[in-house]
Amino acid sequence: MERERTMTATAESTALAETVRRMLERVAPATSLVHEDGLDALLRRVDAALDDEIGLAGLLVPESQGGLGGELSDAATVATELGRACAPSRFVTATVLAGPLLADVGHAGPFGAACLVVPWGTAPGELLPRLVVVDGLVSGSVRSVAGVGDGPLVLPVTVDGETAVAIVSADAPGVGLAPVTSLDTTRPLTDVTLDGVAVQVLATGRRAVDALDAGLERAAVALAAEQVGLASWCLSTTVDHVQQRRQFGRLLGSFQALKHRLATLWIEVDSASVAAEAAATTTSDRAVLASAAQSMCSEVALHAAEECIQMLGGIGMTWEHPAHLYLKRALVDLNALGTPEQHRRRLATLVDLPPAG
Amino acid sequence: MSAADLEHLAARLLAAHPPASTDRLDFLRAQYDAGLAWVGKPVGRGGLGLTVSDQVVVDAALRAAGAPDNDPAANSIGLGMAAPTLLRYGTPDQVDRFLPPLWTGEEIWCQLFSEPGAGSDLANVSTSATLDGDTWVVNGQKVWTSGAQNARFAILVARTDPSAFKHAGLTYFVCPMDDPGVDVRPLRQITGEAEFNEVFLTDVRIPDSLRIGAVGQGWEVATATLNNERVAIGGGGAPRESGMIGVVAQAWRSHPERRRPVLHDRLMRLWIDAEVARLAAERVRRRPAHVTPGPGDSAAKVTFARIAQQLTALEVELLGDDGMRYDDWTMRRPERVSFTGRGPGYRYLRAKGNSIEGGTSEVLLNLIAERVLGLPAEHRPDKGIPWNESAR
Repeated sequence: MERERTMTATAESTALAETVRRMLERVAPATSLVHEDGLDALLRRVDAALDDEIGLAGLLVPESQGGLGGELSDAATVATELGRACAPSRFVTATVLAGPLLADVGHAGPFGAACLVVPWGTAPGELLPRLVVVDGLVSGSVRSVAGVGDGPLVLPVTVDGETAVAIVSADAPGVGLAPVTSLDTTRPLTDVTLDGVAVQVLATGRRAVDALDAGLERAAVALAAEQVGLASWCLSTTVDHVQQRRQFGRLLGSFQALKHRLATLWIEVDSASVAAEAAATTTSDRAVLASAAQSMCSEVALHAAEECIQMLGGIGMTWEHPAHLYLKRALVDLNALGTPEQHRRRLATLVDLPPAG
Repeated sequence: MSAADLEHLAARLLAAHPPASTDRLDFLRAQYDAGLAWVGKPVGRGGLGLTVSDQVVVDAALRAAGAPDNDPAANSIGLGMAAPTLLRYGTPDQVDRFLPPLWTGEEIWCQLFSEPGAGSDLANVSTSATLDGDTWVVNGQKVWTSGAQNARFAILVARTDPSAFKHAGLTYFVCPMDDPGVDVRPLRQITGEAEFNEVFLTDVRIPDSLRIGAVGQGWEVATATLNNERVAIGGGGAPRESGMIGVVAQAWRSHPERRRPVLHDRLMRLWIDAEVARLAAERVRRRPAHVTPGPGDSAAKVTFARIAQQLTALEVELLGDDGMRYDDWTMRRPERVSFTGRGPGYRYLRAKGNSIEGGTSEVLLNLIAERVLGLPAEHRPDKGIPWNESAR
């Protein structure tokens, strides 16, 4: 029985991956990514296709709250394809993180492209809200927020010294959204300023803290899956290249120095996919496996992108070839939702391996 | 078959052969006949044709009832390598003869593959087997044979046609270790002990009925054995923090005074690597029985070796002054080997073998590069010429 369920789930997941992959090949081919002027429009087209055409809006929101009641493993499947295509999208920040977070704190929706207003480097368990609600109004700023669009802004705040979750519309009076020149152009960052903004508090105390942590943890798992997709693209692109490029009368791929590096990278990517899949499918061990996966997948993705740039040689240094976009995304995602070292520290506490001192 | 069904079968076995009043070997033989020896293997061969991981349910039920086990550590070559090879390439008569006593541990097996001139280049074996009537006469020298002093049988690769191409001239045999021409000598290694042996074969006589596979098919059969070995060495099925990571994590927990931030980050990286390797082994164990090990499984072995070496080095460094001591350099011949046994110095030294035995990490990376990624093969000056004309 267990095996049959697993096999059905595997088949469904493969079908979803293929659907998303085909859509991305059509809507966001690699050639479209290098024209930075069109990235914003591209992001909207990708998300419209994900939400409406494939019908993934509200994927992780429970059915009782008007969502699809999907599993995090479904989201991981989609994220892997987004990473493979290096596609701009708010899928992770909205569909995985902020939307279900709103549902968790009892918001009735619609959730739209909701955005959790925290620095993109915020690790699960390390969120300290710095915005304070005084007389229902919030003032302050949050730098380097990913996923800001026209959807609602979800604010971690403190009310009377307690952590709370609040919501405000992106076009509310006093909200300032300043686009940042991001290192990773495929995931735009925004500085958010709030000047006496009237917000609606949705939850306070334990419920708010748990919803924020769970949201960031979900996003960390989806990001790990994205990183596996990104790393897979880098590996296969590099292997394709060394199979064609000749120097000294030989295929580059015949040099053992490169063969060993690529075989090592294949092992790393395979391990990363095991880690990401375990984190996405577990029901009982999410915190441990999420941080294990974030630590490993972040580093493997960056390593894969760096190997890709090196083995592509001069081609990898050009703006025209999309490899640099993967490198930049992998580099930024190293820090996104917590650095690998932060996740290892979080893990250390969870598995009783206390740090020095 | 559900877990409840398997528990039911185990209960039936226990009822018919109560462990408290049944001879150990009788119980093991009954377990084999009931298909509960290794449920991943075929019906009639000690199994039920299920997946390897289903065995966990059976073992738990039998252990809880105080049933004996077959002491798998004492016959790891037999169970991990000889058995799957016999099942795939042996005749029904050969399987009937060898498999039951192999599983129960009545007959221990060893491996006669490597030679002084055939390590990574295993296909270069020069031990010869020539046919005399219906008996093969074997001469040569084998090395790195663990357990040879206890073994009843060996799996042997020998050259039956020196004028054929290198890989085509090999044949695979079962070698009786009690033949008077078999001379086993301990080979002392860097840990101080002799876990392995050199085995000298002088006019050893092997009946043709002990040939596994066709004459000249030895390389294919040996490759199947080695893929199983890599799965066995890199394999798993163990709970979190078992194996080397468990030893080093425990050392970290019991020595708060030695903790340093840089060591902590190294430990956490390796903890993650070990946990992911464990999860990857679980994935292999959940694979249906008909999926045979392939080049991709070599990754587990490369990873296992790297993690073991990095962890043992970390442990020696963590222990400081205590890391400078060694338990005992006395030459001995251990009955069974545990990579995590003895002291930290032993663990470090023994782990050096993990990236050499069963295919060096370098050879396995070549294998992955060529068979998984499809990159060009290495230049091979010995290819396409008769073995006895190649430079050796």
